[in-house]
Amino acid sequence: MNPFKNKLPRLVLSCLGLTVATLSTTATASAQEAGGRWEPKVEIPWNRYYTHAELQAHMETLQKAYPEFIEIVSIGESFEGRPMRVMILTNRATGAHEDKAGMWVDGNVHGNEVQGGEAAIYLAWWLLEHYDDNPRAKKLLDQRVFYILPSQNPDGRDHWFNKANTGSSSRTGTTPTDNDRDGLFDEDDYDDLDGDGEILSMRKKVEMGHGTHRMDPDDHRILIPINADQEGDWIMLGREGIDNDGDGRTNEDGLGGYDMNRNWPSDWQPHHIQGGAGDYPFSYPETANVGKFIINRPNIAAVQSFHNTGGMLLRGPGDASVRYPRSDIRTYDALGEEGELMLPFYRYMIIHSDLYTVHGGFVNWTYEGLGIFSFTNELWASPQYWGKQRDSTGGYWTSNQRQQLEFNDSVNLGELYVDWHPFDHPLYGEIEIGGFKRQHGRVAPSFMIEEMIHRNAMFCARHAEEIAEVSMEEPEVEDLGKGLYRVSVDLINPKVMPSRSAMAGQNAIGTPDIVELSGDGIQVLAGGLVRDRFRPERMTPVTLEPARLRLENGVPGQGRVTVSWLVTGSGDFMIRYSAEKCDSTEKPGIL
Amino acid sequence: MATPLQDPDAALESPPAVQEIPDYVIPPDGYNSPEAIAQELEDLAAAHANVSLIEIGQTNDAYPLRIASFIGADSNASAVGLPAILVVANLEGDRLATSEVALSLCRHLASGEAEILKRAQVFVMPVANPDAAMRAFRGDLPWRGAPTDNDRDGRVDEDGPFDLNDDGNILWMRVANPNGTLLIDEQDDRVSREADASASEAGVFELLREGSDLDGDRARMEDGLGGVKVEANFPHRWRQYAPEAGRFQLSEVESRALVDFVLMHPSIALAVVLDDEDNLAKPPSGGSSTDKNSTDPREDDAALLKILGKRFHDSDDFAKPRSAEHGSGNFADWLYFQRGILVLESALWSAPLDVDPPEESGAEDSGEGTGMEEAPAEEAEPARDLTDEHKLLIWADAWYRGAAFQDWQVFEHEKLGAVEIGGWHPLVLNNPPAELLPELGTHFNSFIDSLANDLPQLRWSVEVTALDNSGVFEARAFLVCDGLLPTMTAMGRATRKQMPIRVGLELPEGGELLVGRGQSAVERLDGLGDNSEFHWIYRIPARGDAARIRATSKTAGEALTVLEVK
Repeated sequence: MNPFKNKLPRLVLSCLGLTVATLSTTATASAQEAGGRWEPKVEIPWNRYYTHAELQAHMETLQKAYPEFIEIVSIGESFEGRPMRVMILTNRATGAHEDKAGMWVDGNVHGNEVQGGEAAIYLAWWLLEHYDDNPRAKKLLDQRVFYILPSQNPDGRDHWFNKANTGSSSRTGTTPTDNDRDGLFDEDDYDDLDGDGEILSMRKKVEMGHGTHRMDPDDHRILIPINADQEGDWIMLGREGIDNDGDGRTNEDGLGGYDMNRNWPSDWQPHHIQGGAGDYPFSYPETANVGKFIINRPNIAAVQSFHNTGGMLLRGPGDASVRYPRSDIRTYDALGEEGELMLPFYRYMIIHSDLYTVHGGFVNWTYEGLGIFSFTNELWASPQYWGKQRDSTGGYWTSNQRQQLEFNDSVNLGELYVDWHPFDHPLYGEIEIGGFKRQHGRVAPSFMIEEMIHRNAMFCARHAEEIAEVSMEEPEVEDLGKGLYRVSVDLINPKVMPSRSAMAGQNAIGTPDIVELSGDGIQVLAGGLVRDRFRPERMTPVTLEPARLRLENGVPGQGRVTVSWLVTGSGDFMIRYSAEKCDSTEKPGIL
Repeated sequence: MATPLQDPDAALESPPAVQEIPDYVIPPDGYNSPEAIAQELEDLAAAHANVSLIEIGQTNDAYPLRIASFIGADSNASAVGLPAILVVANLEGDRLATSEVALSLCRHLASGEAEILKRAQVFVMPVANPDAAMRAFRGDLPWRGAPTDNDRDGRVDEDGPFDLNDDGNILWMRVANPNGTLLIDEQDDRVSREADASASEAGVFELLREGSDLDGDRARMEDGLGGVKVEANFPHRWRQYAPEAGRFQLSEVESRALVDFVLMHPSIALAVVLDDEDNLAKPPSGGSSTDKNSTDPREDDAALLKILGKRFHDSDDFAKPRSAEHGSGNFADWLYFQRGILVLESALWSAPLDVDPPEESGAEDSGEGTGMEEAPAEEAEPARDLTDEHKLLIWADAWYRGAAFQDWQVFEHEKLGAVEIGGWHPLVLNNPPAELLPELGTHFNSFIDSLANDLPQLRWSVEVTALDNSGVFEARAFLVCDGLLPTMTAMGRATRKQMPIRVGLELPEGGELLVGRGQSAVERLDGLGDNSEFHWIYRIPARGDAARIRATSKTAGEALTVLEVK
């Protein structure tokens, strides 16, 4: 999975071929781009992050500017009563959204992982702004639907912005939870001891030989863990806080304290197996709202759920005990490998084997439970600070601390770091407080936001472009004599994604694709899939309803299916193909 | 009798057998309907101050889901601080006897004579699945009402079994089929048995539920009313792709409401589930795994099941029922494996397999055995080459004089031609005749009362010493758990969903803790005297109150004592 491999994945090649043909017939110069200067209809600064209310306002602005393309529907409220609203993005003039195959895009199920919200809105904005000048944007809005929920966790999002936090805190929702099992709820959270609006770190100078760290001689901000043969004179005391409930522990029962991305049905496991899972799937209002919406929309064929951080395009399984069908893995690989090209410093990875085990994850449910090809992009990778690959000292989550300080010192003029300063702690006495602010580490610096969200939004667009697009060739009628005919038809899908995932086919998820032959003067004697295109007699007749064939495995990606019927009678007939996750089509014929 | 499967012409001429009057009435005759049970619960709540009804939801068919709550009859009684026992019956729907026994417990608890209420609050849900119970009571199959597209054809509940021959029951059809695997048994032509390929036998028919092909898709009875089993819809070992398990865990109102009730009542120390599985008749072996698919209780907990199972079945007049196979996604497993609550499961009664055939036991013996006086099934002499179905027919003939099994009768099926319709009465194998219900109820009520001494109970054993004359004291205390049961099961320790015991030293105004922890927690104490030691040194004003220590447990109540020098 080298992102710099010198070749284009097969889906890019197929897509480019399609695009050239489309451009040759429909492209026109956009008025917005006259003179090479682009003036979007809606101005949204993409160099900053927004609160939940501000995201809602952007949705409304887009809806007012493009009323024929956007419907905003409420799917419920968060625990604290913030509205959860989905933007249904499609050209209503070309059909109702329920009748189009679509893609679900959300962000920010972890409250601190904010940039997914901006990426989700950006996707809508970019496609709308380019509807008139980009035929592929036009096709996506005409033929597909996007269901966009910028934040699955609006309470956590706003808490992260509005209260003192670290870069990693406020991941949870805000339903009170007794994390330390003392009968009290959320009673010992972090404390902004110095009142600067940030939750930083605490450290204390102690006598030489009593510490675990030493100060870096070149940079007083850095403490270095001592080796076994060294003595230290500093200790780290964790994040800012006190023992609020007097139980001898600090910061052990903060706000919420659970993980809504472990609260989905597929392979859901209780807390002692999967930390933070909640009492049962959909036990939180936010996940219940989303679950109900998605379950009731079988036309959703693709899912993207934005997170941060680490630069990853993740797919399931989340646990080694779960197996994915080989043909679906090929589809995932094609999409993921293109994603690696589109997103420098990102890697296409499998959750359980390349990251860690996840039970009850969202994209695990949407694929394993609903049969939808689903990705989680982890936005932002620390090597992007310097535009270099991580060195041997950098992990996924943070690269070398010195390099990050150097970046902040030079490129941000020290903006995102609070230097260590003294504080008189009620338990520890004289300590120092300092460290990186929450905006450093997991989210891109403001000047790099637009590139981050554009590349990720375009990965969604490419994912949606590869939703199955099944067409039907002209039916062939073969006269077998004595009033008997064989009617055959091919269903062709040039896209990477099948009309039904193999996961859906193997496990009888949803309704199978249907190919139905009907005509007033036609009697269907037998029908089925043709296994060998050169030997039409090698058809596997079904035992139930031969006129109405059920394609449990749908039409494969970049493949075809041939079906045939033995019929008698005469006159006009119609062959109709319908599927949950791609457009219907039909062809007439005559005996 | 000759059958159309052997000789169609002869069978068509055979008149139906004339049934004799049975000794026992066939369930549900003599049973209370679910509606009558609901009414009696209302009457009990209206008549007794210690009874209240909690409505936890409403089913798809608009029946209320109700749990009756009982506390001691003393006018000052309160549930605050008491451990609770939860009794849930008939989640499957067709186990009407379990509902009757739970109702019997409700009467007993309301009477003011129940020993258990001196130590615990008791919650009883006699009809946990009213939609299915109502259908079972009316002779329908015990399905719930939530519409489900079982055959995934875009049509919902359009082709289910129904009472084709209008005899009041949905039974089975013997349908001639060269690919069928069944033959008519030579010893008893009511029995359908598998053909023995090693004896060069070939099957001639298949068994299908009574019904037609209402949607004309050539599949028969594949999409009946509803379809989700409540007892397959709970989170532990939930089967994602089994249609009867529901679209997601707790997708059904019955399962979700019950789970939410349990979550809101952390005082539940013990649960009793009356349905088709039985861990009292056959206690499981213990294990140590906390794997996500585990079905073995922890060894310490399995030992408790063994003790309680022995007590429940240590009576000669109460035969052990047979347990159904361990299911997936059931309520009891969720309680235990995901919450850590000890669960006793009982099927209460099974049709006896040990009734002697008439020719061996004599006419005067047949029909008098109740099964409740007989020795446990596994101790009986095995019958000669008889399958369980043969034995059940012998029993049914003795008890019900043939009325429990509808002999096969020819029916001209609109789409299948001549078939035979017959089989077991839907309720008879899992529900005893109503005449036996009082005895089952009395036995069960006695067992529940016996649990009063088993519930965990905390007490302090304290030694206080004055270290000087200025009010400095040293207290060494043991927190002791009496009763058989622990404050938390071994599984509860693993799930961390049960609350630890909170222990606090309460000093009077001006008091000062010198050594020890003012607040602490004990994760769990086993029963039978298990204990935890505490040590404090403190100073209190000379003329003030004495210090106190308090231990509180959701499942074992509270222990409070004053620290005084003896």
